[in-house]
Amino acid sequence: MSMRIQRRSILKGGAAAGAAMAVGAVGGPAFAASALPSVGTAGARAGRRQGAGRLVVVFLRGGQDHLSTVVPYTDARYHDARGDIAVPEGSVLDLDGRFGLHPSLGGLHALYDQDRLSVVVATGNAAGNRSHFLAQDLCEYGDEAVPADGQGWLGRHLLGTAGESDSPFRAMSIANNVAASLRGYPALGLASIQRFGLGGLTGATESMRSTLDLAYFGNGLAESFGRQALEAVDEVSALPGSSQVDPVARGFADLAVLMEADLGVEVATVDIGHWDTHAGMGAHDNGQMADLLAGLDGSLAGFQADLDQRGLTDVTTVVMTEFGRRVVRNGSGGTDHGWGSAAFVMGGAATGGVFGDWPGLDPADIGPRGDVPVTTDHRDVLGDVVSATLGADPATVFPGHAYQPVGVA
Amino acid sequence: MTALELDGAYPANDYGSASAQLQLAWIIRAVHSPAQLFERLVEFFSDHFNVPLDGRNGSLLKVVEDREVIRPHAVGRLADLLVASAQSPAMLLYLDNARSFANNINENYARELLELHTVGVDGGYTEDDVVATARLLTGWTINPQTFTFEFRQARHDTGPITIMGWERPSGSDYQHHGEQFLTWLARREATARFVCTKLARRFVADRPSSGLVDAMVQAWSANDTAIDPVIRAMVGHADFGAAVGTKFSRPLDHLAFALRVSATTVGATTDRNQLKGLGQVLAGLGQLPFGWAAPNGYPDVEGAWLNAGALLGRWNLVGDALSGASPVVSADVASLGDGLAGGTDAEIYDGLCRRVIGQSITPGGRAVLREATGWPEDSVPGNAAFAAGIAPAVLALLTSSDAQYR
Repeated sequence: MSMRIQRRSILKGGAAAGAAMAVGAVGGPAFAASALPSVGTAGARAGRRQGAGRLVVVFLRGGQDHLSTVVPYTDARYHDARGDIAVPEGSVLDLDGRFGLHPSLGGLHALYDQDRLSVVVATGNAAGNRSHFLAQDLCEYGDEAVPADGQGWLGRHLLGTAGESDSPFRAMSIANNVAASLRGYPALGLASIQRFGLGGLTGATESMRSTLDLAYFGNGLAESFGRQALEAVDEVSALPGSSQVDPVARGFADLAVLMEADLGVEVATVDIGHWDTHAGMGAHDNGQMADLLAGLDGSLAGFQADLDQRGLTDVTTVVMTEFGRRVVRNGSGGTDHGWGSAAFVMGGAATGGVFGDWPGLDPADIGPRGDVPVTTDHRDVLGDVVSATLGADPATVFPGHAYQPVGVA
Repeated sequence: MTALELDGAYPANDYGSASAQLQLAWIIRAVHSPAQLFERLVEFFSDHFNVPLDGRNGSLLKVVEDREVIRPHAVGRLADLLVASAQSPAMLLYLDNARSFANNINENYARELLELHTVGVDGGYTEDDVVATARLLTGWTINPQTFTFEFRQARHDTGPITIMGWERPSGSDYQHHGEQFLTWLARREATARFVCTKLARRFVADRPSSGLVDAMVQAWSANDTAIDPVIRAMVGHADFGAAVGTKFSRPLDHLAFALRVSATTVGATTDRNQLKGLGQVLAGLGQLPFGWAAPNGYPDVEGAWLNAGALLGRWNLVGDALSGASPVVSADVASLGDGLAGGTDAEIYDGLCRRVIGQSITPGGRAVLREATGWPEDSVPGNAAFAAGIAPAVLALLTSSDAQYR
C-alpha cells in the first residue's frame, strides 16, 4: 500500500487564506520540510552568524591522484611504480625534503612558502571504498556508512546552528545542483551571478515577479525554495558577476564577489571534475595530469589572490577528493581507483606545513592492491577546519568519530 | 551514418554539431513522439549506461551508440542490451576497456559494469571479482580504422577465471565466454533488484515500495530479463497510479512537459548557431541531454534537483521557451485559450488550469492568475484583455510549484 503524497498548491488544498496559495501536506523525501529551518523572511536583511569565519570546500570529483600531486619524490618505489608518468625528482617543487608538489602547482607552492598552505598526505575515508559514488557519499556524509539522518557533514553543522543566520546565502554550492555535504540544510545553488536573475534570455519572467511572490507563499518544500530564490535574486541583482566562460574560473570569481558583498555566505562548495584518470595521464610536463593540475593551481591560487585583494582574510579553503589512485601505473598509462589521497587547506586559518604520517610504498605498506594507505582520517582534517573557521565542535559535525586534531588549521 | 562516415562528415572543429543534433533530437522526440513510454525508456537506459557527449570520439561514437545500442534494445532483454553496451565503441572508449590488456588490465569498465550496470554496489562482489571481470574482458576493444568492436585475442587473458561463483567454461571461444558471463550477470537476482529499483524510482517514486520492486523483479525473472513485462508489472501496480503529482520532475521532464502543454513545435535544424543557442538554454538547467560526465547518469531524486537556484532556472527556461528564445522552438500559447473567450475570469482560469495542470483551480490559484492577467475579479474579459492575458496566465501556471511535480 502506498500513501498518496499531495503536494499540489495551486490546485488543491485547504484554506486559501487571502491571496495565499493553498498548500498541500508535504511528505518526507530526502529531507522533510518540517526539518528545514525557514530561510529568509521576505524583506529582512540577511543576518550573518557573528564571530565565525567562512569556509569553502572544493571537492575534486573522480578520485584525485595523490602521487602526482603531492609527490614522495625521494622514494625509489614511486618512480619504479609510475614509470613514464612519474614526476622526476628534479622537477618537483620541494616541500620538506621528502615531498614535492607537481611542477604545475607553482601558485600553491608559493602559498606553501608563505605558510598559507597546509598539505596532508595519506588521508581519506577510514572505511575506504573504490566506488566513486559510495566513496563520495561517505566523504560528504562524514561517516563510514550512510547515516540514518541522511545529513551531510556541513548540513549537520548548519542545521544545528540554524537559528543564528537567516541569510538565503548562508550555505551555497557554486553549481546548479547542491553538494551532498550540505544535505539537510536548504542550501542555494548558484552557477553564475550573471545568470541568477528573473528574466532569462528573453526577459520573459521579469514581469512575473509579483505573480511569483503570490504563488510561492505556502509551506511546501518547493514554495519555501521559491521564496528563497526570490529573496536571493534581489540581493544578487546589483553584483558584478564574472563573464568568464570556464565554469570553474567563473565560479571562483563569483564566489569572491559574493563573499565580499557580505550577504551572509558562511559555507560554499565548488566541484572540480575530470580526476578519474584511468588512462593517458601523460608526462609531468606535457599531458592530461599536467594540464589538470595547472588548471587546479590557477583556480585555487587565483581565488586566494582574489580574496587577498579584497581583504577577505577570514575565508579558508579545504580541498578534498573521494579517494586517491593506485600506486602502480595500469595498462593504459593511467591509474585505477585506490585509497589514500592528499588534501590541502589554504588561506584563512591554514597553519601551513606538511601533515600526516607517511607509511612508505613498500609492498607491505601498500597492501595486496597497491594503495596509499590512509593514516589520517579526513574527518580529523575537516574537524580542525570546522573548529578553526566555523567555531563548530567536531564531535557534533562528525558524530561517532573520535576526533584527533591534526594541526592543519 | 557510421562513426567512420560521421568522422569524415564533421571536420575537427565542427563535431559538436553532430552531438548538438542528437540533443535536439532528444527534445523533439520528448515533445512530439507518439511513443512516449519508449522514449522514456531510452532516456532511462541512456542514464543507466551513461556515456556523455564529450570530445570528438565520445561525441561521434555516442551518436552511433544511441541509434545502434540504446534505442534498439530499450524494450528488449537487458541481457542483450548489456552485451551490446559492453561491445559499444562509445562505452569501450569511455570506460577504457578498449585499453585493457592481459597482465596489464584497466579495471574501470569492469567495476562500473558490476556497480552501475548490473548487481549494484551491494551486489556481493569483491575486489577480486572486479579484477577477474576485467581479465575476462581484456581484448574487447575497437578497430581504429572502422571504429567498430573488435575482439583481439592477442590482448586477451586466456587463464582460468572465477567471478562471483561463475566459472569460465573450457574451450577457446574466448569472446563468447565474456558474452556468456554478461548474460549470466543480467539474470542474477541482484541485477534484477538493482535495475528494477532504479526503474521504479524513475517512473514512480524516489523511494519505491518493496512490494512494487518485488513485483517487477518477479516479472524480470519469469521473462528472462525482458524489460517489457517489467514495465507492465510496474504500470499495473497500485503505486503507479497513486504517484501522480508526487515526483519532482527533473529539468528535462519539466521542459518537455511545458513544451507539450503549451502546444509548442520544436523543429529540426542543422544550423550551428541555432543549435548553440539551444545548448546554452539547456545548459542553464544543469541537465543537457547526454551531458552528465560521470558513469552513473543524472541523479533521480528530488534532493538532487530541488533548490532555490534550480527553481529560478526552471522559471526562466519556461519563460524563454514560450517566448521564442530559440528559433527552433515555437509555442502556440494562445491556443490554450481556445473556446474560453466570453467566459468569466474564474471560468477561464479554471479552463486554463485544467489544460496546463490537469486539475481544477483553487481560490488561491485564482488570485495568482488574477495578478498575472490583471483582469478584474468577477469580470468577463473583453477581446483585447483576453488575448493579452492568456500567455501570462499560462506562464504563471507553468512556473507554479504544482507544475514542478509530475
